[in-house]
Amino acid sequence: MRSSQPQPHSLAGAYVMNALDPAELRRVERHLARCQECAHEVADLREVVGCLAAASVSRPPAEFKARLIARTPMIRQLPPTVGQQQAGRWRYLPRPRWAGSWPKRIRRLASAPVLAAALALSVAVAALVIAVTGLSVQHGPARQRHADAAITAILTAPDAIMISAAVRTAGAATVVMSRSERALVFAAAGLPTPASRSTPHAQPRYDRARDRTWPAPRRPSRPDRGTRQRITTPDLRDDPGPHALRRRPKRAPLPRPLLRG
Amino acid sequence: MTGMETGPRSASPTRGRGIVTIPAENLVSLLARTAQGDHSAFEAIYDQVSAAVFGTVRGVVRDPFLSEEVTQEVFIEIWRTASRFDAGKGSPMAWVATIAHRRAVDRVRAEQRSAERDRRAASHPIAYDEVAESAEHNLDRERVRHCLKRLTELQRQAVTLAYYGGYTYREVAGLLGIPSGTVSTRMRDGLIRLRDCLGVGS
Repeated sequence: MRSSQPQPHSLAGAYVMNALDPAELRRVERHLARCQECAHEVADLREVVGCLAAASVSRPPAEFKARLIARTPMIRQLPPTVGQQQAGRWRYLPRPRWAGSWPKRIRRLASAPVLAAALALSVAVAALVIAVTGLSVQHGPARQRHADAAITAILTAPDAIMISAAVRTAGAATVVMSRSERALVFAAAGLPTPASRSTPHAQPRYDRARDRTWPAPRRPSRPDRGTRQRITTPDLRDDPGPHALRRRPKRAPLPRPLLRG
Repeated sequence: MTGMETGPRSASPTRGRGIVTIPAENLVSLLARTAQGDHSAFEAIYDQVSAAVFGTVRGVVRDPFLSEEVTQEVFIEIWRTASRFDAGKGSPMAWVATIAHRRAVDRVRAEQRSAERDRRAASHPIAYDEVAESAEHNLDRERVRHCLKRLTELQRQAVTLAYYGGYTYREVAGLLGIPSGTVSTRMRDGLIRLRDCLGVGS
């Protein structure tokens, strides 16, 4: 027995109060995935956290809401996690390991009549309302505003052209381009993992930094250096967020055209 | 939304009712509509929980300007991940509070990495009243205050330093000068006692 390391179940309180070091967080999450009873306790203790939050109220400034509401149309929403059932056409973020009662959840969600509508809408939103990825949210407000502004300029340019198409392998992609802005916005959903990155039957790798579900991982990954100043290579592998391509991306040419039709 | 049920764990229909005066069912349907891109539903969520989110974030982050930034991050996360909310796993308020508190703690620790945070909290634990300033949800505040008083001194310190101070349990152990294993146990015991006192959970 390791006396210096508290047993995982005794860390449930620290866990729901985000009071764990990253290494211990992983250890506890591994334990939670196996221990149904612990997962129940964590859910209970989260309700206490909800009460503590509901009890500490402080109104944000009045203009804050307007600023926030003005931004949300530019932020792409994550689709529901529907797992294997939809894997044929649209690939979603894989299930995190801590999600204990996931299969039940899939069944219930899938049976909900609203899901079809939600799916259809989220796909439409992905294609039409092109917004910035969660990754750029993590980069900080200033960079985020910059990205928002760049994308808005392209989308609202008078000569903007939108092209949507199915991708040959799977998924769909939309490009909005503007000659006057000399730039384009690329958005895609459901793209497959490139063959070089995985075997045909391999599950997509779970990327903690991209998964902002509940409870989300503690630390966002360090932003890729290559994407810091300008985005030149759309990352087609994973989260289908849009990318703004600015002015002659020389060093990293676009991948081989995948669009059909 | 009518399609959303309480979930397989129907042993917890009372979850989230308790002292929380915010109508949880309403938030559930608002989150479902938000997940479909409904901006008016998102605004309604904002109206209902913004004071709790901002209060929670401010309680941890302290700095008003940073608190606004973090609060914005919280709501963007709510907007982005509304489809991932699972009513079978807990109440909307618990979900929102978890996001808010985690974001606040993340920010505090990020700031801490660049400049060593002052350690005054060790000698002046954050006063609960400093955070809960508004008269709204007065009942919630009074109940929480009442229940916090019913904890042992060590439980209360462990919970408040972690929740309001944003410290890890090992840091709390350092601040209080007791073994970290004891602190983690007191945190859990304290929250369990709070849960029973507040009448939440299954």
